[in-house]
Amino acid sequence: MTNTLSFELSNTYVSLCLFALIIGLYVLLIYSGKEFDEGIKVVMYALLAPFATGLLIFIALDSPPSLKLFLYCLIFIGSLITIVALLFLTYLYASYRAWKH
Amino acid sequence: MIDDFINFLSSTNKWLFALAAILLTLNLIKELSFRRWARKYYTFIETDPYLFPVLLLNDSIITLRDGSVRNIRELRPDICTGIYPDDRVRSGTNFYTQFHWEAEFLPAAIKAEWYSFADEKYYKGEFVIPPEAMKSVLQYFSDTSLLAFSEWRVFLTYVLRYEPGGHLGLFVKGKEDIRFVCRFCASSYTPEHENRPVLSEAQFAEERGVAVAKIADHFPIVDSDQFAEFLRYAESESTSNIDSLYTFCFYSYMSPEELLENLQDPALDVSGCGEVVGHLIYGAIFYCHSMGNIALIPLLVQAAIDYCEHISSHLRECLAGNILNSVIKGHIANVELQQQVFHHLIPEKVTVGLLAFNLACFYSRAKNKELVLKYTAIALDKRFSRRCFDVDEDFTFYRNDADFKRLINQPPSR
Repeated sequence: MTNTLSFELSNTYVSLCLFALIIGLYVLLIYSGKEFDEGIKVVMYALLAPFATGLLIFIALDSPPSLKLFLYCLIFIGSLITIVALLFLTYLYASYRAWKH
Repeated sequence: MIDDFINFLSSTNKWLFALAAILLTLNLIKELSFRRWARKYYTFIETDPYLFPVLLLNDSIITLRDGSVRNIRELRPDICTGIYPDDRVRSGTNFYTQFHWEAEFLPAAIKAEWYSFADEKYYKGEFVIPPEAMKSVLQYFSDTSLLAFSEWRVFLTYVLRYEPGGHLGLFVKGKEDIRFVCRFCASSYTPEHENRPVLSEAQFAEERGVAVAKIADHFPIVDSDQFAEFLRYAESESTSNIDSLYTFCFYSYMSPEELLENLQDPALDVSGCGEVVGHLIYGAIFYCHSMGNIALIPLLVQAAIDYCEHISSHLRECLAGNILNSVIKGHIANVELQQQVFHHLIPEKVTVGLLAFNLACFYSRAKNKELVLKYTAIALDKRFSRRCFDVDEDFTFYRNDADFKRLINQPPSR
């Protein structure tokens, strides 16, 4: 039991490190993406929160109970930011439609 | 060991590793595939908001692409009205031209037609841009832009500067730098239905204010220290070419007061950059004249005389023509200063139409018929508008004179 917990805990720490790496690479991709239009960059930044929250949910499913609370807190904050981001994306889309017509 | 590590990882971590690997690959591909010739280049055209306002009747840059001739832009009627037309600002981003480096985009020619308020003349011409000059400038931007541009897209602006005497300067402006390409000289003409535009003080003030506000970020107004530094830069050995002079001239946007303050610095050395100073004084006099700030005109005239040795003969004549306009209008009461203008700025053989016309006006007021006829003949020979002689109040005394009438009515020699 102790071994299983230690195994889960280690894996969760690895997951969190990988999470940080993925988010870093994603931001780097947008930040140095010279070929992207400004509009696409804005959309990619707006998708960052849903993307990160999804990853956290994915990690939380496999995490030990001691870390679950911490991860759920992060997911809750991420969800709030996701809602704001999705509202912003909806606004962007509506503006784009209005501009297009 | 690797096997152990893989076995240790949970399925979630394996998926996360795969995702990280994909993102890393995308980042690497992006960096490795960065090629300057694959970038998108966007071009605009704008008119240099310098001190020489013009009314643009038509202008366009003609390109050769795939062997076919096409226009980047024909000036639209709604942006023809201003004296500082700027495609980028007035027509939004829908009017830019996009091209890729491999398309060998080279503007081939410029077509322009304008009325110069400074010269009071119409000019037009179709000018072929020397391919080598344009190529070297674009090459400069494609090389430096790796450092200067932080974006995949490169924005270049073709800047057209309509100068006194019918000259048209072409520059290419990047994000932080501007390069001189070439300069053309247009021929003046008289339109069929001549209706000379009038530049009102209010319009000039308003448009200039807008232009200055618009360019404030890009063209710093130069203080006296920077002015001297720029002149030193312009005359330094490494940059003693015409490019740097005109580049400098472009950047040295300043008010007449600031210009005077700068020029009155006794330590100022203008050798090698007199043309720049001449242009600045010319613009400042025109500005003061148009804005009714006549108190500064004698000071600017004195500056022109002080620096006349450094100014080219053509520009000296343009300056003299401009100054004579002020003399005729009574803005320069000092007789000694007037004499100095005649002595230092007006050559024996006048070659600029505006100067000849204003000399004819001056002598007409002085009722010196011989010189009126002499300078009228020169002005007409230089294709100065005949209608000006018909309508200008200065010629009221000679309007019924037989010799004068014969001169005005005789057909052009060529």
